[in-house]
Amino acid sequence: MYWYIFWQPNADIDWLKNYWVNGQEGRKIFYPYSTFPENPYAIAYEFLNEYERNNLTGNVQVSYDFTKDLSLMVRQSGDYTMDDRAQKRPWDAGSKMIRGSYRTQDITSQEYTSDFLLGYKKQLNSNWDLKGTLGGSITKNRYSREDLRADGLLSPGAYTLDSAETDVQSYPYRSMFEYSSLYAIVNAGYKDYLYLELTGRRDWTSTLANPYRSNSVGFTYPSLNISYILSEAVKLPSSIDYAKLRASFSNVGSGGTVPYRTSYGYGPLPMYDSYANGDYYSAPLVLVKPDLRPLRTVTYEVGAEIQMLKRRLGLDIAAYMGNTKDQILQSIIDRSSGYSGEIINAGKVRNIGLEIALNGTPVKVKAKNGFKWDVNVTFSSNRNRIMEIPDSSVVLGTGAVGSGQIVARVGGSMGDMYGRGFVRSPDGQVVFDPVTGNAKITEGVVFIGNTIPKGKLSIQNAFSFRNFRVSALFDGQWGAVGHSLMHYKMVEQGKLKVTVPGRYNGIIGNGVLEVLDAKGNVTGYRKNDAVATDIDEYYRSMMGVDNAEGSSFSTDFIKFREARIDYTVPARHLKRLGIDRVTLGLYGRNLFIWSPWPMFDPEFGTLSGTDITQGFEMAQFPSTRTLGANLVITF
Amino acid sequence: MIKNILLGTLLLTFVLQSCTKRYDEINTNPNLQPVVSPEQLFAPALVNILSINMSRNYSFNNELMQVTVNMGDGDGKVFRYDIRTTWGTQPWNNLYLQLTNLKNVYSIADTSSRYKNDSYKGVSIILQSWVYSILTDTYGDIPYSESNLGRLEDGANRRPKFDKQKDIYMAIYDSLEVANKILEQSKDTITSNSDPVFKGDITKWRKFGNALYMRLLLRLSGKSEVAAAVVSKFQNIINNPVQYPIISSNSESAILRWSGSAVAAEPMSSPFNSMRVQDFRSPGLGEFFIGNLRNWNSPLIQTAARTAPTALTV
Repeated sequence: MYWYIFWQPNADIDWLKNYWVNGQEGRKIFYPYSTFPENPYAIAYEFLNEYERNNLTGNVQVSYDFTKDLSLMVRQSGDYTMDDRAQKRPWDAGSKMIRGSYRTQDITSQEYTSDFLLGYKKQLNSNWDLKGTLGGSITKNRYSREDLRADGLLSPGAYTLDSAETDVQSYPYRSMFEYSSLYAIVNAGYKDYLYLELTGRRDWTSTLANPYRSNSVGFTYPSLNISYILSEAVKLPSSIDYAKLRASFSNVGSGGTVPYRTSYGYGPLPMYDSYANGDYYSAPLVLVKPDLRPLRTVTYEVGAEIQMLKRRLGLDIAAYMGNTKDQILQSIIDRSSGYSGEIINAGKVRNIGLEIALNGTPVKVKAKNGFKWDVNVTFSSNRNRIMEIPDSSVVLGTGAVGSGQIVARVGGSMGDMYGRGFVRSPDGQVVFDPVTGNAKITEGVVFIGNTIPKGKLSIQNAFSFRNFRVSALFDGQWGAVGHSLMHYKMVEQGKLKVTVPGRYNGIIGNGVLEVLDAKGNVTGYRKNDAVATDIDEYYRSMMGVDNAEGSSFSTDFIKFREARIDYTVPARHLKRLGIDRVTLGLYGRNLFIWSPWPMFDPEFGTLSGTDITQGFEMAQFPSTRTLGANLVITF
Repeated sequence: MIKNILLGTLLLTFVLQSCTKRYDEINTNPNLQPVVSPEQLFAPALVNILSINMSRNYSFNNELMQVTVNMGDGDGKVFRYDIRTTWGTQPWNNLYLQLTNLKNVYSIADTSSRYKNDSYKGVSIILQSWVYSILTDTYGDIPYSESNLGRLEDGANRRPKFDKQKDIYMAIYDSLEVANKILEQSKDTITSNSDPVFKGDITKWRKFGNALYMRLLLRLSGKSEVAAAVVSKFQNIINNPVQYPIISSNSESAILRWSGSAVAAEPMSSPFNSMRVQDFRSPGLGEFFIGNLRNWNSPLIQTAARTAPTALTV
């Protein structure tokens, strides 16, 4: 995508097709204008990534009934994956790979789980049903990666490790973790309408273990679940078919599945392997936490489910409040401490939310295969509030530009984005520079918005008549912002329509100028009348690299997510052919997006290492619209 | 039956409990080394410090000193002293991390029974003094006495206090006195491999330390409140060449020579190796710099500006 941002919009892309410099095939890549955007044909045909994956999954389960009431289940499951990867880079593949490179990774990952469940059930009397379950499990996870790198090849196109100019560098990585748990569940049922479930569980996890501490790595958590089927217990109006109320309390703990966050060690520097026959190391950047605690979440939930009008209308509603404590996070710390980050157990976060699912059949014609209209609506909303935090504020992530960062503060919310923005007058107007006419940008960071949507809604309509079925799915979200790297880059290059006004005669920005007294103090504001003539700098100040606010936009959207038409061939035509069913369908996905977001798709996720960073769009490809047809034949 | 189940449960609980002992072992990181020797940290730290300074020189100091000028005419150009607060962080963010490595070299050489080595202690002090002097010259008051103590074993200090620049300079003088003493008496060797500057020559390190000492004394010689003390320390060095050997010829200069390899992954290759050609084309050489080289008939002009820097080479 970066390439498209930088490529001259009116240049012929075919000029790039012959990507080797004539006479220097294999040695020098043709980069017209500059090497800034790499030649995409060279990337497609020469920068090759190879990939082979083998996966084995198995599962053995044995059940035995000792008596009618007592049974035992023992299960062993395993997952084994082997990945072989290789990357080839030709000579002249950018400044870091002047002489190309060849890298291979062999990755093995395994996970095995053994568990058992011992169940005992008893009908105490005609009113009470009782069931007890005792279970336990152990999960073992192993990962190993051999990463060999020949950076710098003796001759062009020699993609073997033997062709390395210097020694082959080895970056091995191994990790393992285990966790085990023991739990008991008691289910009680009274008549056919009151159900109770009580659980207790204790977990042990290696990811919290550390040889230097005495306190245990085990932790215990309970839960309680009650449901009451109103329609069985009391007589309800005949229009109500089914009604259920439920309430639950649960306490969940987790030690996470990231190992090695509890002890200090020095990292090897394989690039020094070729230097002076030694092993070289450096101190870690991230401080570990030897007394790491498990994450705890306490959730209270109430809900109701109701079916009425002969099951033509159904409603499921749930409200919850959860307090999460001691979330295991990596926070950024000042480097005068000697380190850039530390593992922390972060304060307390409260989530309050509402989820509603509504389904109905507004029209249904009685006749066989008559017209029928089904509607499904789901709604979810969540408010998130930081109640306590170990420090006054914790920086959880930083974006590439304008000091954009995700900061956790007490009273704020997870996902709050801060960054440099417009200097504003007390009534919120943008302040401009009286000389240049450009917008003034704050020195410090300001609150830009939250990157987590406040709510999501989806509506599916389906119509069926005779052998046809037509359905359409729309969904949307609202209440979040995102920062667009693509937008600011394109603005700076004058490639967007928003940068057209004022290109020839200058522009007066919509805002105010400061009124200063003789000492230079701001005494008031007046309407901006300074003409910005350096239009490049003007738009840079409004939406460029230094202004994180200017290049942040709402990620609200409504999407026409999916539409399909299916036709089922009447069965009478098929019997002779021995075919049960034939369905022919046309479908389209991701059909339209309505959104204030300026750069393609507001649903982006930016990969950073193995985490998806929310809120920062980093020039990802636009999502694609899919149109297709399918034919299903059932014998 | 019930009895058997209870017994089984108890047994299982016991098995799981004993697991947790094994978990200490499982959670020991096989990819990291809990114990290393000073020499294993030394060369990379030194190379990194130099790379940090060279990159900063290219991107910032050259502009500040009018060696190069970034040719955009917009706001926020260093050569016009229009400097944004966020641009000051590079030396701070990188040099403090390397101080951690240097301090670990010292603490391992000081306390480890296996790797006790006075020479590494002395050299570590000299390099720390050098790095702290760059930091305080850049920022003024900085964390010094409490810096780099973030680790739990070191006191878990994530917010070190700021010391006064004057106190830092005085403390650096004391440290360099200590380093001179340590290296004078040290019998321990520094392996030639781990030292890309002096190949393990401790005398040369000692001379470098004292020369650095003199340079840092010169910095404060104009400050009236400390001038007398500083001048007398300086004279003491000049008057006692046996006690304070200093660099006396070019062959004793502290130079880290890059290998000249074009492979960026090679540790001893210049940090400019991973920069693009256009990174050197985009800033132009300043009139102040090139004009003076010309007026002084300096031969350096051939090194600094062999080809026209703004020439279009498509």
